[in-house]
Amino acid sequence: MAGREKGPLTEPMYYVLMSFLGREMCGTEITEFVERRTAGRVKLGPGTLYTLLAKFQDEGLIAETSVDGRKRTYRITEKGRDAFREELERLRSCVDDGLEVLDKEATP
Amino acid sequence: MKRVRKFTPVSMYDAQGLESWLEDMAKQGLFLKKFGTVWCVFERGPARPLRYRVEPVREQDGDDLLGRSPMKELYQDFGWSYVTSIGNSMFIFSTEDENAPELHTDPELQSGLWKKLYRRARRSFWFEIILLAIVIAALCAQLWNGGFILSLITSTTPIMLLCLPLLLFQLPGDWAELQKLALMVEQLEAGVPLDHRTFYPRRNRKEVVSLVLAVVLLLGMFTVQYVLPFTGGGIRPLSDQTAFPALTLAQLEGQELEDRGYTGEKIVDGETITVNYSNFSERNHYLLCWNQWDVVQTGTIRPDDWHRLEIQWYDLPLTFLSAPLAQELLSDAMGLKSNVWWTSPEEGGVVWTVDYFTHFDDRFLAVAREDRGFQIAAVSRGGKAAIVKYTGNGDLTDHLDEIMAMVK
Repeated sequence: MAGREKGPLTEPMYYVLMSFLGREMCGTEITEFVERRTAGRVKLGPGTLYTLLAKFQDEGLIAETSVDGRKRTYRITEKGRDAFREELERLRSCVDDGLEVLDKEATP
Repeated sequence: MKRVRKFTPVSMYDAQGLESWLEDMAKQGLFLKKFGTVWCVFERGPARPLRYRVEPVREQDGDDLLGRSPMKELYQDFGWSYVTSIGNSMFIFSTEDENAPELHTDPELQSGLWKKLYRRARRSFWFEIILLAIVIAALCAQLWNGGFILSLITSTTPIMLLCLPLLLFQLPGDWAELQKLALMVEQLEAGVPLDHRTFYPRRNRKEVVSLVLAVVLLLGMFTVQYVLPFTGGGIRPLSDQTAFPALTLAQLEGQELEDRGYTGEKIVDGETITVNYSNFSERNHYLLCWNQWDVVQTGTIRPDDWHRLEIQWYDLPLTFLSAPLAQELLSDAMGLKSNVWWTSPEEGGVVWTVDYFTHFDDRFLAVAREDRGFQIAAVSRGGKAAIVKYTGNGDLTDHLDEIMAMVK
């Protein structure tokens, strides 16, 4: 199944999508996950988070599962998982390319 | 709580200026309750520092059928309370919590939101240009078709003439706003976050006043165009006309005529009345001529002939316009520009002979005759003017006193 059609994910997109791999998440849980995972390097303001969640929902990468009071919970879809895997592959190949060039430079 | 109105010193698209202004108002104990492009409504309270943020929204970000908005709820979870909206395109949020996270941490992603708003503002600007073009085109059409004075009196021309400079005055300011918005989008796309503190006011009060005036005038224009024409009361019997002593077909022909005209029925105030479409009067209201009458008389002497007299009478508050109007009505009638009832333009044109009897100050009286018997008399005096169009056996020059009496 094809993943995301709209090019590579940005860093906040990547981590937000990653946050759903383990379980369903609500807004505040997502930001906590991302901050913890990146040791505070990637911060998500509510505006950024909301825009990302709306974008992912529009693209079918995540889906809303429940609304409990103000708390809205989302889960990743199969398409979302594919998009994440694709991005992971892309990042892997970026890293591999970088390492290979560095190795070649280091070898006389 | 006491409510206070304040002039909005920035445009609705100037998010940074608006945020700065609202924060300064909060420090003075004024807290936004309702945003308006001209006035904002504030509620008084103990002065305290607040952070305000303006957020572009999509249609689906508003309240659902249950009155809930995922956007507002998520922002609330992070300490940001919804304050009010700017039309249906932006929300205003505020927080007292110093630790509440900044709304946007990804300028590029944020640029997408503002880009949509920029496109919307650009569409509004082009709409403004189109509106201006429509006003100019309508003005030209009115002046071209009706003659300048007649258009000025009986159409929306005076309002359009006022509207035009106001709309033109508005354009440079709106263009500058659009460019500022474009720069903001460029800045975000380049990954540079917005500076939420900026100077203001950045809006000229005169621009706002001109915008409000233009809107009021446009509304007035629609009223004059589409409401006023229905306030005159429609077609009514000749005897209902008492504004002036109208010249009659019987006076011109020297005898009573037989009315063999077309009659129909219409419902007025729930009652069915018979309307004579061949002999009637009709009162019209116009912006610069509240009292205008059309009087139409038709009749026959023999079974095979047909005589008709048509009078248009104007009572003008701007008295100096009466003589130019009479001349213009005469010229139009001779040029067959107006939808005259007796003939249509022919190849080679129609030759008229005009006799001017009075032509000084506000007084004007002239009679024009055409070979086939069509006659026109134009008259003005004081603030009154009239045109008489006639076909029949009589001669309008024999009735100059009666014609002059119509405008006494």
